[in-house]
Amino acid sequence: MSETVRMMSGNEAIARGAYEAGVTFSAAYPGTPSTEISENIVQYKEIYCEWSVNEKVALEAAVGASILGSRALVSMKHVGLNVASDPLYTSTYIGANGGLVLVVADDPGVYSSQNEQDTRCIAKAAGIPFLEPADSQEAKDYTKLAFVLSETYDTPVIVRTTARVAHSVSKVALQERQEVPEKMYQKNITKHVMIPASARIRHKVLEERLRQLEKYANTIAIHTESGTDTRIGFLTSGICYQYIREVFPNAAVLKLGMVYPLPMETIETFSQKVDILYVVEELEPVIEEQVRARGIACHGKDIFTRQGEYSSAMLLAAIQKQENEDEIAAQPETGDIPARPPILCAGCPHRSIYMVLKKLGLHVAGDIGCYTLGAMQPIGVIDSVLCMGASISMLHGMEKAKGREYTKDWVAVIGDSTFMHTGINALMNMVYNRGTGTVIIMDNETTAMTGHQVHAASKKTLMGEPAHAISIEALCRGVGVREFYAVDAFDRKRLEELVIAAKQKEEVTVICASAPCVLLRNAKQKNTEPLHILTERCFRCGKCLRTGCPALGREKNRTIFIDPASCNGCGLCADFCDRGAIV
Amino acid sequence: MENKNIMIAGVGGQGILLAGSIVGEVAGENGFEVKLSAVHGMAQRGGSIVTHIRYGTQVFAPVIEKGQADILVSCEQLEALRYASYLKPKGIVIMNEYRIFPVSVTMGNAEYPQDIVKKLSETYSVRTCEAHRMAMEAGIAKSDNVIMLALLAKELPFAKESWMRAIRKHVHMKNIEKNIALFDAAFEASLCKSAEET
Repeated sequence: MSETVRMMSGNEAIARGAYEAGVTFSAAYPGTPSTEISENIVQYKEIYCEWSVNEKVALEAAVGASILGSRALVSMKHVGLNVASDPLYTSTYIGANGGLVLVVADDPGVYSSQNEQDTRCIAKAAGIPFLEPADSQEAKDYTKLAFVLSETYDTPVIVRTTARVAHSVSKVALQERQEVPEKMYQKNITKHVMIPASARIRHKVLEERLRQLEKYANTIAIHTESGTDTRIGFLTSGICYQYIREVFPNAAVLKLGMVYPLPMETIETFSQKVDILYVVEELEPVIEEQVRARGIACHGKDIFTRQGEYSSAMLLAAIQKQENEDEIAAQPETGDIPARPPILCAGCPHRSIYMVLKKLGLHVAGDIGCYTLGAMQPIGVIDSVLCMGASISMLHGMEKAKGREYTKDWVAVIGDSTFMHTGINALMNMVYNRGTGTVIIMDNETTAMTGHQVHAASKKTLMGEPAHAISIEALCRGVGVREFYAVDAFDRKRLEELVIAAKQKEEVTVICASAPCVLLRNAKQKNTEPLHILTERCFRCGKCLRTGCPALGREKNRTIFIDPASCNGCGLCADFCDRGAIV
Repeated sequence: MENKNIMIAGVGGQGILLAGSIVGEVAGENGFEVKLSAVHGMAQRGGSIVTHIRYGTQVFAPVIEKGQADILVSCEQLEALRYASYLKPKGIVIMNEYRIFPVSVTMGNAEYPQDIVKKLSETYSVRTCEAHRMAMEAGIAKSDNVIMLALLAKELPFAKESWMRAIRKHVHMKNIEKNIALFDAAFEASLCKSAEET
């Protein structure tokens, strides 16, 4: 067995784990912080991998693969798991022929999501055992172990990461790929067809399986104990382990690798060794509640938060019940430091579309993608964002509840990938249920925010093969949209005309405003010449700055400039200028 | 040995994560345990980004806490100010003099802080350089990070060849040779002005 050691992020390591475990099928939908798993799996030619249109389809496809005997991996972020909820909860009844592993990445601290939910609660509710790696080596090892557990106990298994584990880079020892002997499909109605008669039987099977796993949990080798100072003891899993070792290097620590089911006997034995027990877990008290239910005294959410990402310093402060200021260097008098949140790129077609909607004074039901950044100032044109595909559904609900007149100044916006994900269902609903709303598809020809992945309307698949690209227009017309208009996202005059006309129409209007994502465009072609300001014409009125384009700046003396390194030459600012000062 | 903690900060699109990977590669090649941390996702959209590099004989947490960083490299002035509190007292700041205005400043809702070098010099050892101008003069757009890496390399005990190997491994661009040459020139030259001189 040849071994090399490589620095890998948690996500890269998971992909490597899938490869080493003999996985042959992978399906996913992009979602930070899980996206890189699929982007790394694609290098392994032995694994079929795809970007599915959404996470529900991805999981269902994986269940199909598993039933027929293949080892299948599905990866998603926590809100993506919500989309896959329906197959998730019944997949435990079906079990796994070929191992079935879900990698779900949570986002404590909400770096880029809509909520801060704890996937571990869902795993427990569904009766799915899960493993929590604390670094990249464990991310790989636990992925491989998950497949063994899945096949041994005939269950899907979740490998649960968080953004910090998914994206931190640490060393990983590599191994050879294991070729798994081929398993065959066997017809089994009770096991695979979840009619009530089957489900009643399979529910009992699930409960029995969990009892077996509880016993196994106490013997599994992936729980580790360290530290000799038993005055203070920690029970933890995942990344929190690293923070504890950082600031309490000698304290007794029981680190769990599998968190559901819990190794209760192991925990009880450990708790008796230490004077005081802290249960350290980000987000929900999943471990803590079970420990308390067992009658084991401990601290947990009485001193640690249920929200936010943890850190070594925060743990130390909470436990020492003191502010840590005296240990931090005296900081310079910095004054106010302007925030620098992410914004739409210079030359982004979404900015062009939003300027039209803003000019028309519209309310906008928004959705998830780069275009969500239209909520930021100075654009500030979005009224609502809930979850993938919701912009269209919400607009429809608004119209039906309050009437067409009340909602006449509302539109829904949705990206091309989001539309293919679940927006299409919402559009079908709007058409069928006699809605009259206006939907603007902001088509930048990619899944941008997560890093420019292809999707169902793209010409290529994840594996680089020619795709049967789905035409957005044909799809919309196919579900009964008659008022469909394609327009260049930068043709603001035409876009404005279309939106105004759409408001009058008594049926659903879809306006597909297209232009390629500027970052993709730049990668393919020579950059458009940057614009510059004719200082003799510039009035310094600042109208151009209202576009919020990051290529524009203003000096202390109020001179306005365009940064040639950033400008992508889209001409939006020039349009805003009344004096023809931008060329 | 105590772990060495380095932070590299800048604005999304400046190649901050790439720079961090290179530092990690070099430290790893030289026998240390290394952990890197940065949160991907939205930073390319012109947001503030910082990457943490920790190396030593044993590293647990992949993140650096406030008051723990030995060196802060920043490819942009405001970001140097933003992350300065992560430095140890008398820690080293290596700062690119380039400024990228956040939208709040451009809109007139906030001021780009003045005298950043002066403020930071009160607590830290500050070196500055005009990496952006040099990169533009060398004709390689967005290669400020290569120059900043060279300046960092001068503070660390790793051989130049180790850095060159790491850059070749991580940078997949058609003008890799120009980048290598730029790194070499910046490594060999005296480009920094220390705060006392400015």
